[in-house]
Amino acid sequence: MEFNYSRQNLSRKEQRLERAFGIVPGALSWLILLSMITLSVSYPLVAAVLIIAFEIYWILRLVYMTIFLWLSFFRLSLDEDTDWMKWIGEIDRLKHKTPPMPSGGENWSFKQKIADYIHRKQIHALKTSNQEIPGSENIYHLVIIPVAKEAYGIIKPSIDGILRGSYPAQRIVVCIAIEEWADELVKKGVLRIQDEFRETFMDFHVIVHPSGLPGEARVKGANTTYAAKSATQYFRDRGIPHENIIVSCFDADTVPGSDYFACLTYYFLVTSCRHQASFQPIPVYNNNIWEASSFARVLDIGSSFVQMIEATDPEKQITFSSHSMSFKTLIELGYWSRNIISDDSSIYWKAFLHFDGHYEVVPMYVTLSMDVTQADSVMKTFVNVYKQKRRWAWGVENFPIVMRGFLSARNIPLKKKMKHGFKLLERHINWATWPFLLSIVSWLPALFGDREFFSTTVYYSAPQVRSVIFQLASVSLISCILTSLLLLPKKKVKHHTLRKIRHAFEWLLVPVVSMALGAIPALDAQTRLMFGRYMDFWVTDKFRKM
Amino acid sequence: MQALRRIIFYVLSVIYVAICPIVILYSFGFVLDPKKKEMVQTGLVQLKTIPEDATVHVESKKFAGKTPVLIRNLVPGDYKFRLHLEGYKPWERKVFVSTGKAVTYGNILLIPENWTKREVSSQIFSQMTPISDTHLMILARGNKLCDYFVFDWESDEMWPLVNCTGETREMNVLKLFTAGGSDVVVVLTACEGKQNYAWIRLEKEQPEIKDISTLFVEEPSMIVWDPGAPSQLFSWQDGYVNRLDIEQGAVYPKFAGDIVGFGLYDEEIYIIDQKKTLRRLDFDKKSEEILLEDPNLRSLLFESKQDVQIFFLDEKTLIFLDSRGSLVTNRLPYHFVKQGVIGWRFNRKKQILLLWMKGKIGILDFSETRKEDEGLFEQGLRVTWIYENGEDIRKCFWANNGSHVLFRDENKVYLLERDPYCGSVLHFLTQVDKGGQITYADETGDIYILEKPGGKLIALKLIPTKTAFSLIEGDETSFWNGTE
Repeated sequence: MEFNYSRQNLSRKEQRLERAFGIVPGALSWLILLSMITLSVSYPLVAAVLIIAFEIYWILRLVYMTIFLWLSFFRLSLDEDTDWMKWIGEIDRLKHKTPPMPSGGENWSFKQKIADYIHRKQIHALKTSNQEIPGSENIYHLVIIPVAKEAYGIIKPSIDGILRGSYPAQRIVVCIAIEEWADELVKKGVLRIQDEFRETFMDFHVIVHPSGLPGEARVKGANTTYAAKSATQYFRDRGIPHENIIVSCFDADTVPGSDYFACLTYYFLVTSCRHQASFQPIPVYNNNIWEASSFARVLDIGSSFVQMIEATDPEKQITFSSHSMSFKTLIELGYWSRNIISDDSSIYWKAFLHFDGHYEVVPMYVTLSMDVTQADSVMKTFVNVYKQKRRWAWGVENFPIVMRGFLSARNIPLKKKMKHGFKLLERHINWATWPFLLSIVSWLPALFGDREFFSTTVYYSAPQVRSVIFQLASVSLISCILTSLLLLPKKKVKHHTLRKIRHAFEWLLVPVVSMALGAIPALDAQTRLMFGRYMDFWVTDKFRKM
Repeated sequence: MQALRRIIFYVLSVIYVAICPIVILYSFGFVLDPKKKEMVQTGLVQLKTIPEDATVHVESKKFAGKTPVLIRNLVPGDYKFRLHLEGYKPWERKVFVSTGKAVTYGNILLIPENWTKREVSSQIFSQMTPISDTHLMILARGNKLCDYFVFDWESDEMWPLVNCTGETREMNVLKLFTAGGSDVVVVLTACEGKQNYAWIRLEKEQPEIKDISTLFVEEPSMIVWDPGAPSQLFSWQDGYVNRLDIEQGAVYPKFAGDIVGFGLYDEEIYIIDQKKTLRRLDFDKKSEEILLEDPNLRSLLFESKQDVQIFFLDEKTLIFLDSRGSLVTNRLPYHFVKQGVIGWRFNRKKQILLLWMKGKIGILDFSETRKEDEGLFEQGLRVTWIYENGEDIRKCFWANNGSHVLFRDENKVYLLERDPYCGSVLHFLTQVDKGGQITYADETGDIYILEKPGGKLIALKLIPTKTAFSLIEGDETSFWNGTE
């Protein structure tokens, strides 16, 4: 389906639809919160019963998420020692119809056996799909790194990370997309990196994105699109088919794991519908995890958990932050949106609508490490984290566009539209309302109740029910703590054990952090969308102790 | 993974659909009666005692927990509860539990079986004058000014009212004037046939004393002042009020004349003149406002009233008490007691006025809203008489933050427990000697008794200190027009 995935150049009818759908998430969030507050004051008994029902729903949802967090972590641990290049070789043998190597799994651990089993299943699925397999020798990687304010010290570790992998660097083209308005110091840093690594990769470009191009807003997508267009011509000039190129759009602070490109290549090859799929790794925030403030650290680890849970449901997963996709597909879609802030999620929806719902996200159980937002003071860090989370929550801007797309998409089954539309809306509503409902609203009936309410058994039972639920929730909290400890960088730092113990206690900040830096920014973003006050892109300050 | 996801989703959905109604029904008190094999809606009882850890018996069966306790799943009906804590008298009550309802006894005060008497001071005193709404009291061991002491029951410290030097040694105290909430007293003394008025700020180290004798041209029947402006005194006599400015050393005679009522609040003066008009004036008389103009209402409220004292319970609630003890307020139906009110205490937090007469004790709840079954005509507030068997009720106090009333009737001290379900329950506490005096400090939970004869000031602990500190939330204002 051809669909203008944008808020610009819309007909009047589409503009009205855009505004109408834009109001929905914020209106629903406010409606939930305000109606619960009003009920607590006017009908505290009804409010108390609804809150009990919500808390039971919440704990079961937490159980659900915890189970899949464990499963995802287990899946991640399965692929820790995977020799991706070897598996790529097996796909090549499949392509060339040579007999497979013996598996030789006599001395394998339980995890290795399961990993191998999954791999065999994927190979089998590829074989039976009868899809053409490109062969790893034909695959190239394009890595686009948009830069605006990041200094040399932030970008270099990313390049080092790309280089460190088992995948040959000579098959990787790195493209730093720098904004024209960037600082001279930043530009110098980028050029310095180019000089250092020019000979190491297949090629190393620095593309300067001019400011003020027509049809563009000041968003990251405009910068990366400009660089991607330049790369399109580059590959065309060298006769490299675009369908053999995998493009990865990284943030400037993204440090890929050593297996990232090998793993990506594997998944690209083993996925039969590789040109109708995005490849999503697990983002972790280990670059400066120990220098970060407690609340920022807990919040970003929580974000990693969300992505790990999402990875277990690829049917409904959408792309987030740094991810990869077929370059051919990217070109076919018209590249990233040049006037939408949430370029990471919007490219998924763009593809979903373009391919009439036949687009998926392939989860890759390999990590990409990024920075926890940090500044030189706690207050500034708090403000930066708030702005960053608000920008993430601004992904709600996709909702009205997606809904308009669904209205036009005749070929996407209604059930699929409803499923995805509901999940998109529900995700944002939950983000903005749950912390308020759990932390504040649940106490309101007891605060505002009248004598009649105080003389009911509900008034006394509700705290008891809540206590049991929160005790059960502590099990989930403990599992989060354990998982976060296991996800921490293995590299030991000064006072490593003490830091880990402190980090375990930091999780007690969750109720406060989830509200101040989760729900409030989300509500802020939805309210802005509701009133048509569209946000500008804000570049997160990267701050790392050298 | 998708299949597993679906399975877990459906299992949890079934669990939710099953559990949610059960939990909600449980919250409403529904339980499965094993005998009848059907759901019955029960009630619960909450019991909190001061002090805690009392054993609980329900219908002679010992309950597993100790207070504070929540006893759930009680099938509707009558239950006999008995609480016992060693060293305290048992507390018993018959309680009716109804469906889906909670019966709450959140302030059960257990009464010690034997009182531990604490001697506050080794000195012998003959008179005790508590200053209401403060933590101070004046104790006298004789008639001389030097025999007067200030006792701070909050810090448990005592110091002389004045430094005994020179002239003060020979001064005899004729009258002591105090004002609720003020740390200032005015003393009328006599020395060598000459009367003097002294204004004294009750400070431990260097009490501030001013001789204000020259400001008095006649002996007042009453001296009042606002605690917020203790240097502005008002002496009331023969239907007029003089204003005495201590700082300026000035007197404004007949500041308000021909009045039948007078009061002070928030550094403003309220008077009722002969025409029954209620006015508000500032201290300088620069601004004057008539608060009640309606002649019918004026007549209704203040007709045949003399020597009316005007008190503000809070900025919106006034009470008018005249010399006959009739109580009028600015809330409907205005007249509450025709005559006989001796004193009152107001609990600001709960907005309840405690008032007492010689034979009865009542409460007036200003927080009440209009009842739904009141009928077509609004009836307004009503005094609820919680005790009507008094002989000679002299003093009453709010205790345990308004849940109890401590009072003295003749020579006995009682504690009246305000039971919201079955009326008030009376507990005898202790006996005082005929001439003895009592006062009570709810903030510390101590009953102070000045024994007579003997003259010892002793304290009895009614509420344990740890719990008493948690009661500091409430504040009171009060008036008492009696003698002890």
